[in-house]
Amino acid sequence: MIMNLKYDLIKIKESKRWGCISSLGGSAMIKYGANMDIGAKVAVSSAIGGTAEALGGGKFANGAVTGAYVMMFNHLMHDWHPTRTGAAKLAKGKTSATGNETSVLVYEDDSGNDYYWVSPHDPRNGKLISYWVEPPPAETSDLTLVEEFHYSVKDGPRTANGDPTLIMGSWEDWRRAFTENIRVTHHTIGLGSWYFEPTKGFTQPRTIFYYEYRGFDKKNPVMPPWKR
Amino acid sequence: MTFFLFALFCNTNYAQIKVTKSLVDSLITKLYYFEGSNDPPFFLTLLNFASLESEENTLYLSGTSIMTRYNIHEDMMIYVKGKEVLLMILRNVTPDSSFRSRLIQYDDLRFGKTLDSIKFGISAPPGLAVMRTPLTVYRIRRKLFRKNIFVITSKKYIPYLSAPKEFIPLKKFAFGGEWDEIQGWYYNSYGDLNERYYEDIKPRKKIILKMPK
Repeated sequence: MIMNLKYDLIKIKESKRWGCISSLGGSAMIKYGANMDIGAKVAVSSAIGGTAEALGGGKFANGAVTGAYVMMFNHLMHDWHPTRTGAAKLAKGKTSATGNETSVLVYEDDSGNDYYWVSPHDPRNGKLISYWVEPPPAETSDLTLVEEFHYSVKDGPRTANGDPTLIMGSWEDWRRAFTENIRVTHHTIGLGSWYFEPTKGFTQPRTIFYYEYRGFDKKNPVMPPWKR
Repeated sequence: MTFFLFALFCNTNYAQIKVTKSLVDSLITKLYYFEGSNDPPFFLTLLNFASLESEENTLYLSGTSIMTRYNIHEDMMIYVKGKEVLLMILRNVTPDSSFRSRLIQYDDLRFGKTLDSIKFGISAPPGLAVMRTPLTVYRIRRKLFRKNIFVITSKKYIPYLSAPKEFIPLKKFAFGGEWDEIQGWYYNSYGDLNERYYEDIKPRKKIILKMPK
């Protein structure tokens, strides 16, 4: 649903001024409409946009879709994304800017369409950990969680000895994959990626690295607790 | 007079450096970065004190970080400095009695209990990999004619395993390992060593350590 709406609306570039006003309406709505599903939120935002457009002398329909479009991008798009690339780009940007890990939860509907939820910041998030802030249950009632991926920065804390550390995929990622029965991927920006499958017992993840870090996974495999 | 100077020279420059508690504490404070809170500690610092048979008046100090108890061996001892727990290896080095009495030997019951008390190797491992390269080896010598002033210079080895074996705190690791060839990130696209290599291999500035008389 999100994807179709976005592609219908993306062509419409006019009435931007009124679209911004409707976006303010969208801001208020987020406060009061936390329990609405995505469709309901977009519909309310469209009506506000339409009213604003009528006041400006334009056609209601165009104003409505523009309002919805801006609302989608200014508010919903902070969390829901119709494409993997968009969600990944936002999560990566957030991580680069804050230094904290950012998670993306991937949901699928009955028709096989994927929806990407960029987890909002949790105050407990840090360089080495990200808490999933899940979307409101009303928005995911007909969706199934199928995958999670998260981004971290490369450089971890230095050891007392002064050795630098690099942040990589961990056993906790596999454990999450196992308990949720989904694939969990850890992306370290500038280093590589660890793909954890929900296997019955712990197995080393499939990895992809930047060329200069070739051999990194052999020298630094993911350590399970019983190896400590 | 000449004899006096000769005796003084021999006494200060050729005498083996005694590893005392105060010297060890000063070296740790001066050369390493303990910032306190690391609860539970992800890493334990392993310090390797060595002196070469051909150069007994010089002390070499190097260190690395370990993440797992499987990397702890019989030749390691625990030293507690304030709140910090460190592992130590002494190679051809004689500690004085003040320092020796504070070392907890591997077969001592307190060894395991100390590690338990800081929860080392108990909690789930974090997603962190230690980059042990470059290995910094500090060379500690007495200043000429001075018994209580030490000059500390350093040399860095890339990769970690290219250092002389006496200076490598731990050669084989229970899990994972270290590179024995220069890592890929030290090369540019033409296959030549890059700026990062030359930056990382630069030794630290000379340090003068003045001990109380």
